[in-house]
Amino acid sequence: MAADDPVVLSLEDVHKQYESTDREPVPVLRGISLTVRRGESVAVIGPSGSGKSTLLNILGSLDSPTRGSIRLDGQELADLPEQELASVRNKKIGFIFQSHHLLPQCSVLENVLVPTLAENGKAPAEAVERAKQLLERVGLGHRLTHRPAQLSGGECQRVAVVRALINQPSLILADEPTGALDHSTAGALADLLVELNRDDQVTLIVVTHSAELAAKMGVIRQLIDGQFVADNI
Amino acid sequence: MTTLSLVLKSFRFYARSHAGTMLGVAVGAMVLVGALLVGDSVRGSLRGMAEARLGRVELALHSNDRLFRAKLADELRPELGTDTAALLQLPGLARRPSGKSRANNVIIMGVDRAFWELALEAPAFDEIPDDSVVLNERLALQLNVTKGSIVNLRVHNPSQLSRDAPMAPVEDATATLAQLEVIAIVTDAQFGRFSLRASQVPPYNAFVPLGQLQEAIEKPGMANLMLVGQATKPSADPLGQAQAALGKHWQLADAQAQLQQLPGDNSIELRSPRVFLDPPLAKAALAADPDATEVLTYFVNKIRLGEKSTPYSMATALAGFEPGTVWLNQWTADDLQATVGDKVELSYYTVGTMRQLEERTGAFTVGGVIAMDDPRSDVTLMPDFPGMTDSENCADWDTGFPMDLDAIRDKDEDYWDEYKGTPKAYISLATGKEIWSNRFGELTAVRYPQNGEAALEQLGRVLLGNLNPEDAGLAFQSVRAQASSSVDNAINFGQLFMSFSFFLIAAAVMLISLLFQFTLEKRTRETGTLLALGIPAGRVRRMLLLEGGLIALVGCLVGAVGGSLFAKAMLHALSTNWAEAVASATLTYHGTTASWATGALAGFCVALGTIVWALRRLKRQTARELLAGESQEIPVHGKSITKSFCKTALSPCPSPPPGERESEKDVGVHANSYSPTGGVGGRRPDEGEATAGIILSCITLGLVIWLLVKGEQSPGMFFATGAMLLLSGLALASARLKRLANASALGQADGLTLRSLGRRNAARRRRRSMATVGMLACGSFMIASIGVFQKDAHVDAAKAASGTGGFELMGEAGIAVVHDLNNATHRETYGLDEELMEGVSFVPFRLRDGDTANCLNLNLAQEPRLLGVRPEMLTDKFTFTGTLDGLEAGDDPWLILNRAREALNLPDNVVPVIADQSVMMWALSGGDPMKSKKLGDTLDYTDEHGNAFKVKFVGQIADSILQGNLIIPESDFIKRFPGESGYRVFLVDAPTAGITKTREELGSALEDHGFEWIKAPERLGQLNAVQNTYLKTFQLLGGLGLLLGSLGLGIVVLRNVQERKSELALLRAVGFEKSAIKRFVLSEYFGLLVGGLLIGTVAAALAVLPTMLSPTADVPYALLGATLGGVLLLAGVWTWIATNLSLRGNLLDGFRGD
Repeated sequence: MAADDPVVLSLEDVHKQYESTDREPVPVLRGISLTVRRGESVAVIGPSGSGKSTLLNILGSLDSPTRGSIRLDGQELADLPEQELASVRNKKIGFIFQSHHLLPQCSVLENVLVPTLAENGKAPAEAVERAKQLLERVGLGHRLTHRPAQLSGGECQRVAVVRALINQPSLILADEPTGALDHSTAGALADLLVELNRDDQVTLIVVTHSAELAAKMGVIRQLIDGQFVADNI
Repeated sequence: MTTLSLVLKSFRFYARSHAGTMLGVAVGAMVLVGALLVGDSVRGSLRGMAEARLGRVELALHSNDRLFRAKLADELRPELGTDTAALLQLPGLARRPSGKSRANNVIIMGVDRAFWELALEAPAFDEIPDDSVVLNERLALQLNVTKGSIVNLRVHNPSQLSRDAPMAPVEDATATLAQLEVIAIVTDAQFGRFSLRASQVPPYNAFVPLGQLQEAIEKPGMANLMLVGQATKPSADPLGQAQAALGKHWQLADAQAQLQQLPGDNSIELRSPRVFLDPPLAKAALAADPDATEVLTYFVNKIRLGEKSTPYSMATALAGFEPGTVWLNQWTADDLQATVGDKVELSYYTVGTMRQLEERTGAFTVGGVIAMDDPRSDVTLMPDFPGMTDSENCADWDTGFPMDLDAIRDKDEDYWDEYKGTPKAYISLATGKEIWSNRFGELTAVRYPQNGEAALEQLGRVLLGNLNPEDAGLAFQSVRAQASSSVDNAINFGQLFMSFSFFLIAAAVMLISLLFQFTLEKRTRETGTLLALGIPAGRVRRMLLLEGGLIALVGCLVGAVGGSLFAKAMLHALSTNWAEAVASATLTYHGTTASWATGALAGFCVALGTIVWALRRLKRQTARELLAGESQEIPVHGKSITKSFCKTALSPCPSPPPGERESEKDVGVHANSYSPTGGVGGRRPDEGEATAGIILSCITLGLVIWLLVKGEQSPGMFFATGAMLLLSGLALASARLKRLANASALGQADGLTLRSLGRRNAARRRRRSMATVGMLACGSFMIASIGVFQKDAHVDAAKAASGTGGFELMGEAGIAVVHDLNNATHRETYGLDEELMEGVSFVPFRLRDGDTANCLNLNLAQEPRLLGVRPEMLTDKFTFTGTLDGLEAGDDPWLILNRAREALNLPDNVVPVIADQSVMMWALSGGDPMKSKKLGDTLDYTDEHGNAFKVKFVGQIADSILQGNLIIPESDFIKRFPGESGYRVFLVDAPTAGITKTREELGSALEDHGFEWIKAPERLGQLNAVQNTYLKTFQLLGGLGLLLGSLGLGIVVLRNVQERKSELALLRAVGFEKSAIKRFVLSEYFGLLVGGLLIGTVAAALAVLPTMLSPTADVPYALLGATLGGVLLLAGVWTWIATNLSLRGNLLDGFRGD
């Protein structure tokens, strides 16, 4: 990663507060600014209630800021309608959740292909090939037809990682990706994410409590009471 | 991989979860399909009955007492190219010689081979031999006879001269066919059900040889019913074709007319066995020859000159005599010693309504004397009076009125012997018409100055050319088309059962909604994931809708199969327990593909609609919320999830229990549950509902006190107060749940007990809880209170304003009674015991037979029965529910029948009519409210001469024993149907104490008239039974719905406990026994169950208070108790099962989360 790498994501003075009719508005994010370049990996850490999940939701266009600007690949997201936001999420963002959120009724391969249905309701042949390659790469080539119930927690989370990569997004957002895994599995997944970031230049933002995982990221930002307190702890 | 394959995979994967939803869909579809199949079955059964009763008959000509030549049917056969048959169809009665059994209202038919050829299935015999009879199954059953038994028949003897007419004999009103051997009992398909009237109840039919019946009534070769079979080559207008053929082949005899060459006179005379020439016939006769002369001969009681008088003579009105003068024949002039210029009086009877005889006297001056050999002294001027012409002596005359036989002298007998009925007095034609004309005509003959066979034939042709068969009452009816219309427009049992099953369908919808909602909740994270991955929200919803559609489709297919079982069960009930709803009709299962498809499609649409409704909540949720696994229950305090979040953020609430993921919504709920400060500072959310509930309760209480103090017993008022109590109960229950959920209430730790904690938990999912309470309360209220609409015929039966009109008895005769039963002299002629008749009075009705238009007839009445009455006889009887605008009801609304013509300026072809409310609303519309008759509407009829007329509804009475009939003024009745002589329906006012003896006396004295007497409340009870049975059906099916709805409670419990597993795990972790936790959970839901049932039952008890307080009330306590007890028990069982299922295994696993 270099300073002249293109900016994938930029946040400027992002505020988020929740309104109430009978109480004062509750501020959650207070003037967040952040720039993330292509191939960069960022860890966001902080205590419970500091606004980490809210920030990730805003980054992933699952929520909108009360004030401020958020640009993904130069496109302002704050003003986009839901339909276009869905398209942005589908094409430019890959999500990895704490819980894998795989569809229990679908096989491993099908789970990976689910994001490709957004376009016209049918997974293209090249997507199927890519899914197989990715699954092979993460060591699940032999599990293509298995259902999530037949996999271990770590395997499920690896499928979720592949699902996040299937549409070749600009940005991967991971919310406590190792939170539900045991120590060794968590370590392996963290290595996988780092490997993808390094080898494929995938931009990665991870929200985590895990210092071990955060330490593997290029940048660590600490969030306290809705504000970043320091860079690169 | 495609979206569709993903949907199919999801459908398969969640099949077990969908099973409950499918069950709900299947129940809904089963009920809808079943209801439609019940409708099909009733319609199919009615169609089968119509097929059986008409066989292959297409058209029928029924001329009642106007007889035509039976040969006419043979003459029409080649012309029409189809089978025809002539019958004599007469009312009568049948009994066994032993007197052990009898049947009134029997239709006795004289038939030949041609009749049986029109049946669907030929009987085993060709012709009925003489002295034999064939019965239908119903009559055989009534008489308890079999093949070989002996039966006697008494049959109405149709009189050409109306029994109401002057000089009509009474002796030959009936004829007897005795000692007939039953040679066969014919089935429905063998014409056992033959009838021209649409009814699901077969008539009592007895078939005898046509010739023998003709002989018995002394009308050889005559018939009064002609049947025309379906043509082999269908005709566009079979009715027009048959009527045209009739016009071509009919003869004067068919028009009840005779042309004859008079002996010793160069003239031809037209006369009629009806004595008086029908006005159309007289008109045609006079038009046949301008030189025709009119003759009117009448019977006079006395010709008096001072002290001298000549009794019982014929007098003739002819042209050529001076008005005001009378010419006597020589014999009479000698008898009275009269000379020209003397003043002579003629006394004669006229017949009023109810055959009241009124003797009138006319004063004349003797204008001249006619010699006995003068051509005008003509014996043929006397018409053929049936009881006189053939008598040997004057003393044998049967004139139909009381004669003073002592007044008949020997010389009068000598005159009869020598001159027979040669008129003794002659007056002017104009005067004669003025004083002797009546509703039957104004001429007894028309004479033509012609003679010879050729002239006779020519005159006959001209006469027939001037007449239409319809003028003589000969008109074909499209009986098959009418039957088809009756069936097509019959009461729609499909709709009826759909409304009866309303609660069952509602329960199914609730199940579908609950279960599908739970499925969605279970898959919120999955849905959230799809949205987060960028699948457009619309596509996600469509995928879920498609999956829901598959559930609905499978459920509907299962339900459609179950629908036939449901229909069969309903038909079984209609044949047994609910038989009164269909007047004991035999119903068989018929199912059409259209009904299957319609029912299944309707079920599918209802299910899909419910699923769409459940999905609409999804629209309001974001991917973030769904990913957090948030359910859609709106928090008590807030209007949005954001607000709940704010409360969470602000409240010093402890962390949520372990195992629950942090989510704004859940935290919001916890804030409500545990925060000691939550809700402070604002208006309590339950205040509005609580206030409304209290206000409603106060109003209800006030109303109840007012009603009780006032002694008000109006069921409607009590039902309304009950409904208000239900609403206030539900409002208070909702407020209570809100209060329980309110943080301020929960903050009072000093009052905390395990039970109170349980109650509070019921408030966590308040909407689910209220859905359950509401369903149970509304269901139990509807089921229990519907009983208020049960009708009891005995309540107020003695009151004139009630449905009985205060009458004690109602009777209907097969053979009309022509005399006034209110007249002691006439009663004596019937041998009625005057002592028993003390205080007994009668309201007689003339009856024009037609279709019975009441709820006992499932077919749509095409031409309902008409009753003719003198309205003043019904003063203060029954209750009017409306009269047509423009008519002043005044003190006696019945009199609008007399006033309507003038007040409304009704044209001559419109007759005012009063009908029962239910007849107008239901019976004439086949149960379709859109087609119901309103005041001012009209209905088409055809009179005896084939003229169309309309009856216009001018008044409406509340449900009464007159249901099934339309009531018109007697004056209009006799004008339209002069041939319908006498009275056949009677309402009897009598002392209640001796009513049984009165009934027996009437039954015995009037036995030959084939009377069916029934106590008025009993009759009203029969009519009410239909509605009461409908209500019972609704109660039973509603009860089933309620039972199904109770399953919803179990599902709510299952779901709620599943959602709270971690909380229960916490309780277990802090030391609670598993059994204590179970009791704790059960206490939550038992409160909802009992609360719901209690609210509904108490409200219902108030609604049915007047019924329960009525001494004659027949409240089905057992059924109600069983239904409500069943619901309580079953819902308790569901709750228990659900609780056990939820709490099985290691509760501490709940800490691991969902």
